[in-house]
Amino acid sequence: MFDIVIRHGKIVDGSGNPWFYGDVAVENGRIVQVGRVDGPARAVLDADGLVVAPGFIDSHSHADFVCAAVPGYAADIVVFDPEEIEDTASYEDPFQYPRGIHYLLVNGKLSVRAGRLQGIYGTVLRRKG
Amino acid sequence: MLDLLLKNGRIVDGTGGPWFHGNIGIQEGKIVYVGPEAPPAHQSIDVQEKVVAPGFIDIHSHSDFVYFSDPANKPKLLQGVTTEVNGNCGLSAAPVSEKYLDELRRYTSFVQAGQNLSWNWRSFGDYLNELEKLPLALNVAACVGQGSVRIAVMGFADRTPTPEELARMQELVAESMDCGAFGVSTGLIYPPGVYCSTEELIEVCRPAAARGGIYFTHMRNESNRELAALQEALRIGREAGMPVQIAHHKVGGKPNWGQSRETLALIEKARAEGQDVTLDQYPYTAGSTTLSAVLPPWAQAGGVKALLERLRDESTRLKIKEAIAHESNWENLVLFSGGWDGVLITSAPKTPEYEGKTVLEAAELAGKAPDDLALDIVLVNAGSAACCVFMMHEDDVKNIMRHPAVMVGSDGIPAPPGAKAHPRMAGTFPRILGHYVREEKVLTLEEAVHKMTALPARRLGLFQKGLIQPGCDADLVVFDPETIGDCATYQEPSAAPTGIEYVFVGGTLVLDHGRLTGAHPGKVLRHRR
Repeated sequence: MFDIVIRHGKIVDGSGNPWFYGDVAVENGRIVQVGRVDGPARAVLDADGLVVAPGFIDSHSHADFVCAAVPGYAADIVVFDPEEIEDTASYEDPFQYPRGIHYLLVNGKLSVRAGRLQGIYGTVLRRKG
Repeated sequence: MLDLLLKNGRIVDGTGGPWFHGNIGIQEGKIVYVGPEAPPAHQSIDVQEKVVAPGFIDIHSHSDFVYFSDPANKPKLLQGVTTEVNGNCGLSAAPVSEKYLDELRRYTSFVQAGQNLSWNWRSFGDYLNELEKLPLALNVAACVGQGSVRIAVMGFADRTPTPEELARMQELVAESMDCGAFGVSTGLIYPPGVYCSTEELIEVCRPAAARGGIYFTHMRNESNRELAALQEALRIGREAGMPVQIAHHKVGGKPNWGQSRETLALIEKARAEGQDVTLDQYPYTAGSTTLSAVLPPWAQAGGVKALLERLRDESTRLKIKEAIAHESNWENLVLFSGGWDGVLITSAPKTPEYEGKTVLEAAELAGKAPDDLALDIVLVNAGSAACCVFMMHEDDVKNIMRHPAVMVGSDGIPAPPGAKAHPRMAGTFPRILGHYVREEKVLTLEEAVHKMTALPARRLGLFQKGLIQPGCDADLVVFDPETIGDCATYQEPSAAPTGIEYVFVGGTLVLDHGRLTGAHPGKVLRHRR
């Protein structure tokens, strides 16, 4: 049983490719399948018409590394509407949240749904010695 | 403890992002470490600032039969290819039916490289099992050819299939997909593909679509009716419900040069509307095909046997010559190549004296009219002669190459030992990296590597390939960006490339500075497994 399956998104997997249609299955905090996913899931997120991408890495705040939506990788995933996504933060009101981000998974857990924070699942990353 | 550490690489990781310095750790065939450290390893190789890239994936190959005589497929390995996809252009080695084995044998003759094959397989699964018994050096995937499927059911019949025949073709496609085919391919300029309606193709593709397969197509036209052909390909993908891979995208025929702006605009429009379509390309201005393809479609009807009979009949022969000389309402390769001096005979086993010559040159030698000589060569070689047709413009080649949905695919046709061929079989990948990256600067090094690695890997659903990152298969190529280049030419089509230092498949060294190590870690890849 998968924890979460994101269905029929346009996957922009971070490898630089044009989008392709597919599902993403998440289990124990990791991406376990990309492509066509069969089998039951505890939660299904419909991503029809939405872009499914690896969670964005703000490289100004920590080290760069390749991150693609690839089986075996940490399930940090953002699902957004490419027509709708937009920043609303301004100089006058710098803490307004952006529009168009439907879901955010951090370590395989639903962290943001429809712009509302669901829980905090981030971890501290340490450089491998 | 790592099995292997590649030290001091300039890592071009397949994403298209800028190269970075680092070491790559390999264990049990997988990349397990990428970074600045040097974890302990049984063996380490200092690559001295050479480029380390994911092994190249040739998404458009015709090596289906090559492995039976050359399981390493040396011409591909020498280029850094670690995975290839066969069964393209409608032509696959399976399924085979007893009844139409002879037809299939003739249909696939120009990709058989002159071998005597056992044909001891029937289903697509049998064929993959046969490949699995061979000491493969690189990884092999295949799609099932719609032409081969149709021949297995109805030979070269030029008619609409009955409902029973259609159902049988669908069964064969479903069975092939279940055995590991990556999708269905068509070759709509060759019989029997040329006889098929769009509706028939959609129906035949449905079982593949239901199994997550891809529609790989050599379109019905790549010249004066190319936009309509592209619309057809897109319609098949939409109605069957599957991604589309446009094979060896090109613009043929001088009157059509520049048309790549329109074809690529159509691709972009389809993608903007939500249709997943991608393309591949080989980096040459000449195409290559069977010499029989210079004949009008009606002359090829009924398969090779019928074609040869028509060539023996004087009045039919005259009509064929007339059609080649004047007609442009079909894909007239001679007309589009500017005449017979644009058609180069590459392989003609029964008339080797003409190999490497244009039809015009060969005709002078033979003291015959060029059209008569060309038809004689088709006849004497029983349809197995191959040619190159110089029908593209460099600007279209470059324009297509730059497009982000376009990947590299060789379309390499293996030649019988000693015969001439199109140099793309032995030169495609190093030609991109030498000529088009270093010399012409059409692509950056990173873009070019991306088009040979992650781009085709994602298209194929091979998520463990095409990138240098922990967890991915250790299929790797090490090359010198200053010296990499193709040496294969139309005259010396099998000359080995330069600048490729090491090739690893699944963490095992298979090529060391141009020498095969004899290791055979290659696997038969099956779709979604």
